[in-house]
Amino acid sequence: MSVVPLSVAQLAWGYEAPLIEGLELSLAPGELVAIVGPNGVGKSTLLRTLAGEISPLAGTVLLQGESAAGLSAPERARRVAVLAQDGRPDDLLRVGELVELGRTPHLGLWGTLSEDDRRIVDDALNACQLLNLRNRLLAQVSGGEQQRARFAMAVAQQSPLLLLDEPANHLDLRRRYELFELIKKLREELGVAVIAVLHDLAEAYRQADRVFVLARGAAECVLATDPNRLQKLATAFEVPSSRLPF
Amino acid sequence: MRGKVSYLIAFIILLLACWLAMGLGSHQGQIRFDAAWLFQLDQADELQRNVLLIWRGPRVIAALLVGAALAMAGLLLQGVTRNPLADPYLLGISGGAGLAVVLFRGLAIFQGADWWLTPIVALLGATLANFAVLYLSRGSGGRVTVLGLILGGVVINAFCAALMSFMLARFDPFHLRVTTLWLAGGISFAPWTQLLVVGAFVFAAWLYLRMRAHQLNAFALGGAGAKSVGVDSERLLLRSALLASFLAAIGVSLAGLLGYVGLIVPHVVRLVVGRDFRRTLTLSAVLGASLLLLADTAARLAFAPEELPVGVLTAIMGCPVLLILLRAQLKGKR
Repeated sequence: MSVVPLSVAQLAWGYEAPLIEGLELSLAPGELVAIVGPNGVGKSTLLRTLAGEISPLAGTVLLQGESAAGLSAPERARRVAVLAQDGRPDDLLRVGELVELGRTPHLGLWGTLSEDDRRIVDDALNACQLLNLRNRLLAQVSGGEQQRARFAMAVAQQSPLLLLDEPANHLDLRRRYELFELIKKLREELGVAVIAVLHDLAEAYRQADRVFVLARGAAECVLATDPNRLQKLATAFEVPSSRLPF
Repeated sequence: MRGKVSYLIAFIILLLACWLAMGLGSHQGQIRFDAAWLFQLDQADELQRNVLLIWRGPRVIAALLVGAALAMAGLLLQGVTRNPLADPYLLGISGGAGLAVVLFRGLAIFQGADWWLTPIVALLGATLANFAVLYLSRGSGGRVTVLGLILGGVVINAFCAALMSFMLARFDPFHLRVTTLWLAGGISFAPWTQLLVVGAFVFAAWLYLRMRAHQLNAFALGGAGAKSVGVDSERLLLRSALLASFLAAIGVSLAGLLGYVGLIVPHVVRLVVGRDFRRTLTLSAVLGASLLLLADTAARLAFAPEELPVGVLTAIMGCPVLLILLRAQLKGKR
């Protein structure tokens, strides 16, 4: 029996007052859940709450069956990897060094990378087509390449749950396609579960098993086959359904 | 490979610095240092023994410990604030420690318990100044900014300097001269007991930082990024700030206000071996120790038998480095 990577019950999240309350969500290994919603509705805050970076205002977040709040920082990082939207690593870091940082929660007392760690870093660089850039400073690569390097770091972390906040930012069409292919491979071959905040609604419906639409004060799960999804989206984004991009 | 060669070169520089410092002095005509000689102390005459074991030996050890402590403090501050201009002297941490010691001496409490109380008092002053400057320098989102750090350091330094001047004006001429020379930065006489205690603390600080080196690397991702790879960044930042204060206080209590060692050394080391704390920590400690020992030897010899405060030499070396770095920062980040 495989362990459920993430299980959320009656979750309320926000900073002082809750943005949304009562979210119920359970993720199976290999599943991808997309989160869409208008700006400022609390999508990134939800990811930060699920990652244990900020405490939930109510409810529970279980990572592989254990409360996220009760886990030590390295133990939590071994169960969930995050690609934040606003992560700004030091420009003077090299691409290879950034990806190596993904191994931090797995290292021992002296922080030495084992042969296995090095192989995992090489694989992540290779999967994201960054091997030829590994010695370049982040300051010397494009925004898209930086985004791929950050994604490679999250891959190198080898957690069963991946939280991605707008992972396709700065990527051109080809790289976007490659990114989603790679995510698919991680899901199918390694059983990694993914929650991704996406802006592109068509992409969300194409990639995800389920889509959560967040509106002010409410969260609703919508399936691609749901006949009412356009209406629900239109309500969430406060636009006429005829103006939705698909 | 590059790392191993760097370690080898750093240790050779250290040995050379020790050999020069032990062998050279205003008595160099009479005292010749020879490594084999150390093992035949019984056959040495009184003068040789006194000069080497009572004067030069402790001074060499003190310079090594202070140099290593200041370089590690600079490296640590630069890493956790993600700011290459962080240095205990520029940030006013050494100033805070100096002020605390001047106040302590001026108020003349606990006479006779000086050698072990001075570091404690210095630590209190350093910690207060460190937290004040980190608080003053936070910009939006809690991130420490270059401008905030420099201005925070200027404010703290100015405040400490003003209070120190006020206290010094009340000192008698003898204590005034002693304290002024100490503030200018100079390795003073230290008993072996004190050096043993300080040595144990510096080693413990190195050991702690070495075990946290891979976590300190994660600060390059920012506080939230470090958390996402399993580093309790808030706790580590707090401990690092305390440890940097502690290392700066060790420097101040043994050598007064010595600037720029914590600025120059980590930069040179990063240029050679990159930014990985697992390598830069030990190399910074070894090269910091060597640099200060060489500077102290030069300060002893330049106008022998008069001595130059070693702080003057480190400032002469450090100011151009600071200007270059500041210019690069302001160009890069406007």
